[in-house]
Amino acid sequence: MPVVSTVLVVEDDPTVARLVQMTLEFGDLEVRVVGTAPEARELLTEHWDAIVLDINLPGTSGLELLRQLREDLGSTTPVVMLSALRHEHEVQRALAFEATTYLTKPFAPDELLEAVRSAI
Amino acid sequence: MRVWRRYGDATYALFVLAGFVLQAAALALLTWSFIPAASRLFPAATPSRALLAALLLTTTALLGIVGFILGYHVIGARRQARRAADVQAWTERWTGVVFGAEAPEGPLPPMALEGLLEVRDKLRGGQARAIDQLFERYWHRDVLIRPLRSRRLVRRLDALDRLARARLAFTFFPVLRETDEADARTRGMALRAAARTLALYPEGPALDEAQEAFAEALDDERITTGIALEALMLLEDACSGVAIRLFHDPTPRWLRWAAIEAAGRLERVDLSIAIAPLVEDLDPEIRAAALRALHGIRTIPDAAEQSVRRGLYDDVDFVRVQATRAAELLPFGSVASRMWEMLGDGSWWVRRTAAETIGGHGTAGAEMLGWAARSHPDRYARHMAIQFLFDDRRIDLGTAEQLRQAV
Repeated sequence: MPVVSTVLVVEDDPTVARLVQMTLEFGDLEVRVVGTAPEARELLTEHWDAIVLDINLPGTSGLELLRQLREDLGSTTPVVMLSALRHEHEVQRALAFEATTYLTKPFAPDELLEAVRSAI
Repeated sequence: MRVWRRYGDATYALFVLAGFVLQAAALALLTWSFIPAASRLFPAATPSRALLAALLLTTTALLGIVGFILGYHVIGARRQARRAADVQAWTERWTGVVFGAEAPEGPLPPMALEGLLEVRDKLRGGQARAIDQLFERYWHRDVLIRPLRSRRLVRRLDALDRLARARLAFTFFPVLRETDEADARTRGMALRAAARTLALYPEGPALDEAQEAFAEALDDERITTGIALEALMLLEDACSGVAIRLFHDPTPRWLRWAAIEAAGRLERVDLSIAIAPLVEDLDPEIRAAALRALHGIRTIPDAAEQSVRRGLYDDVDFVRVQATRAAELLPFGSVASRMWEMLGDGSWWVRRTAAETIGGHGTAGAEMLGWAARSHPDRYARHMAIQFLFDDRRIDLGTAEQLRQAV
């Protein structure tokens, strides 16, 4: 039986979250969606094959979550960042924390699926 | 009057009119009862009875208006919740269709269009084009364009909001025409909707024409600098094609400023070479904006290096501030001596920015600031160096106090 890869999606916009979920499920990945940083923080300790992380979350930013994932938890899980605007300094910060890819919204589902698959 | 209501203008006007009529009747009755001759003509209208009647009429009027407002909110909130649920259901359904589920049979209710636009707003690429095809399949293009000609402002604004989410290329020019509207709200919404549409405009010769038209639409003195800047920011990656058309004369100064500012905020590296000559513009506001933009982009092209250095000697203090910030991107050794001098600049802001720029250069910067705190010939420079080192937690309060006393 093939092992299904699991992906955690952290996204507060319900429509984007649903589209990301369906995109990844369409690619035969198992997806868990959360909308807030505290919910995500609780799940970061579990095993995920990849994480799709929105930068503009209410309260804590996605970059801060990424920092916690790398520095506090020492995790090397591949992370695909999603952001409404492509700011170079944000990209640089995300890459400094070893984000695998940085995609902007509106997003192309094919690109997202390809990015997550490559990351896994 | 348009703060809390989107609909029901006529009903609200009727309630308010009824309230005024009742109040007028109450006052007339009360006045009548106090006229002796009138009371003889109509003995039943004694002051106490008239007072009671006036009170009743006033209460009725107030209850009527308050009831309408409360009822409006209760019904409006319920209707809004029902609408949101319908849109959500359609959003879910369209999302499924995008990923291969069966498309619904037409004709479809209005909420289906809202749901489709919600999904369209979040996607680009092949799936976004699939959404465009779904739109063409179920609706006539005029469904989106026609409300722009409505006489009701609310309908026009709703239509522009819908088009801003739809981002359909064929709506670009009809939306752009709305920027000629007399109403400022419509003009602002139209610019935003056109900018969002242009941000995802398909590549090709039509894109150039659309960018040219958008740049021309921005050049309108009725548009405020803030709205122009917002519209340019909404262009996102497509900003470069428009902004570069606005960098030079005869574009008015305020619009040139907005274009340069947007390029900097959006970190458009591809515009750094076009911005470089503006660092020596005759207008200090433009010089400062260009320097700030280069700092935002984090790139100083070779051609602009000397201009940035000259900016450090500019007569205008806010230009020197921006030049000092931009100098952070130049090799420290090449600007260190000027930074040292600028710690003693006549402007507090320039002194502070010079300290920040020096402080940003790691150990070498910290050593220079430590040296400046002790032995800079200018007293204000010594003060600024001490203050920055303390603010940046490089020295403790005791050391700062000792240095200050020495100053």
